[in-house]
Amino acid sequence: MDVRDDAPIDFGGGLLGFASSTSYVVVEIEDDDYYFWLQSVEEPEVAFLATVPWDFFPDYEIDVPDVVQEELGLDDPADSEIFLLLSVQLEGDQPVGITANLLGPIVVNKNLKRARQIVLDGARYSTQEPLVMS
Amino acid sequence: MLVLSRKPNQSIVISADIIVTVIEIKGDQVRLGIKAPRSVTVHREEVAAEIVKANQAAAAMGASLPPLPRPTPRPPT
Repeated sequence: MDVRDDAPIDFGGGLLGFASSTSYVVVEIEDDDYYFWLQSVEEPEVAFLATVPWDFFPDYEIDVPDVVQEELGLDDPADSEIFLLLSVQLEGDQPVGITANLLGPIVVNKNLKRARQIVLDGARYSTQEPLVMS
Repeated sequence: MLVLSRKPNQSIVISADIIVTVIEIKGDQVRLGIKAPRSVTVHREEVAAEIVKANQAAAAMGASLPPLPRPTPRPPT
């Protein structure tokens, strides 16, 4: 996770539904190697809990469209990083679980600090895949 | 909103470089062909709406986090 430094990441047109936040910084969670916050630079109230997929979903496969690779300047797959946005599931006020959006992952060029949320084709992945408590 | 009628094999042009063609009409389904610059993203509306909904759910959770799951250790390979 060497994308975690202070430089903001340019999200182009923003996340779907959050067009007015186009720049995010990665904020680490103390003593936590798996989770971090994506904090909007423009809108302090907008932040997303996020993780990288592979520890939780080792078989996850994503095909980054050519046009997105070009926009991000991703010539080398080694420059890429994938983030998943997480949601806390509530029953009343009580958090009961946490899910990851596998259908709409975020592709990052960690060198150029550019990112896009992409939408994967087909019905293979869901927007609410549970993270399993081990 | 603009409403117009098209027959199979007829098209509409959007800002000169996006062409939407009716390829086939069968029962209650219309098959469309979309020719657009590669920089234009095209999604079925319900899929895009699902991602918007998921993003809003992800953003709306505030500061209190439940215990966060740890990944299941992978079997040794």
